[in-house]
Amino acid sequence: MNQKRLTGKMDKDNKLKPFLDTSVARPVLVGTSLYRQHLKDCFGDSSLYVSPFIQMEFTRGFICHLLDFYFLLDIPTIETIGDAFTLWSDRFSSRELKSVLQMISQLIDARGLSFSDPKDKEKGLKAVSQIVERLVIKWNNTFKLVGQNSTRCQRALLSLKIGKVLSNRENFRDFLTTFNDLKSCSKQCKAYQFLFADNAQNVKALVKHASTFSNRTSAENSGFIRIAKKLERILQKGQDISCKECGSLGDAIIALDGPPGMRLEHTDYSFDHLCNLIGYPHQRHPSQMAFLPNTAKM
Amino acid sequence: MASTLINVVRDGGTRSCGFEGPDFMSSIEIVDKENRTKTFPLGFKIAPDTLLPIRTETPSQTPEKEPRALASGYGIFTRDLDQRSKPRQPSDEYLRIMRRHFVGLILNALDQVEPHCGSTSAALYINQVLNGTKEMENKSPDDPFLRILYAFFDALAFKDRWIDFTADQYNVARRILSHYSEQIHLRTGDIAKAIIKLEEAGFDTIPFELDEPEEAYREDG
Repeated sequence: MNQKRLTGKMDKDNKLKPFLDTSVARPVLVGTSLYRQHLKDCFGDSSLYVSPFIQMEFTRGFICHLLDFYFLLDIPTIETIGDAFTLWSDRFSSRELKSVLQMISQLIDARGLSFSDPKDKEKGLKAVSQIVERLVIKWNNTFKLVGQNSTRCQRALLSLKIGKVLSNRENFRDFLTTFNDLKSCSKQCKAYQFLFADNAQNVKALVKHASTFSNRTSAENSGFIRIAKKLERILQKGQDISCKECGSLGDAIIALDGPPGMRLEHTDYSFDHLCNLIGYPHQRHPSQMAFLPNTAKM
Repeated sequence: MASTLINVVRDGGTRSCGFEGPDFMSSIEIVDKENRTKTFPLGFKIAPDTLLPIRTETPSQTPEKEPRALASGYGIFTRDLDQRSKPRQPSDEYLRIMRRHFVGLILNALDQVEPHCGSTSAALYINQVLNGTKEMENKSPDDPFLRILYAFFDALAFKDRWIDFTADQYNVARRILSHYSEQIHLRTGDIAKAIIKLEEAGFDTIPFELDEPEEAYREDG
């Protein structure tokens, strides 16, 4: 583990406020205990900052999946929690499946609920809604939101409103409907202008830099090359960016939209290239996988 | 007592009523045209010649209302159609009684656990806290206070972390639970404050651990 190197770097830039990428913000809340401790040691008592775009990524990549599971479990023909698990496993890709199933199975286990007893379905629904509620509460309490949202992402501006007693189901449905209304979001979107007008020089430099790599498939380079290719394709196409396309340009948007006086805390290799090229301070932390026991990495 | 007037419009044949009452309600009274009252268990079947209307209170307290006809089919209406899908809320009195009973047990257990913190004998009292929470959910599932209690429950139950907490921490938790249990109508803001206070006292209310790769939140594009 490169604890020493990390600490040295942190000391050097300690006047910069930590601006957390989703890859770090998420494990601050729901990472393994070892990794959470590592991040705690790194940041100490500093205030932790995130942007609306990062909040959107967390919502899209985790909260929405939990809500999808909630509504799957809520279907009348799904009689037990186990039924919902089976259907979820069959239907969704592994990465969506893994985070939701990991979280829910630990929750169900801690609560002592049965996977096969239909009587526990309603309790399971309430447990999931409580976890979503708590994630939102904890996110808002842990991170300070910087105002910067240069792409005018409407989904980023949404906050999950947890309503009164027994109204969670309706609030969740309203939230998902609004969050998934990609047409409305696209109408307000300024991502194209932000990338190809406001940051045209930087984007051209990124694309050019990506073309110079000899090893294009290594873990260190592949993510950055994928982003650069996407940027090049959109530039050639000359059309607005869809929410789907934006999803794969997240790293570029976060790096280019980094607030001044802060340092981007991340675990992605792509930020090494992006931040170095545009001159934005950054710190790459070891991946959470590095903190897992050897057997868990297999 | 709140009244729910249900008009049943017949079109022949026997159909189940479909009316769902709260858990503590075991039967429903039907008043027929001659003002005779019949009591039925929930889930009963109605023959077309029985009825109307159906009330959950004595006929003198609710004015008679003409049944509404449907163009076709067999319809069951409440006065306010928007309320039809909403679950019935237990009375404040019911919430208060249940909460006083179960939270009293939980607070008492927290009182007693303090001298046993860090030892296996604490398990007896923690068990009372956990079981008290589950019992309360069984008896009073709509109580918003459960949202706070279960935040505490998860912090204790996950990987048996209850054994790591100190007497001071349990004392703080006791005070937080005691304070918020006095408010019958808890707003979301109150619940958020209580959860944050528990967090500040060192109780991780989302102790669950995800070890998925960091790329999990990115989209393929």
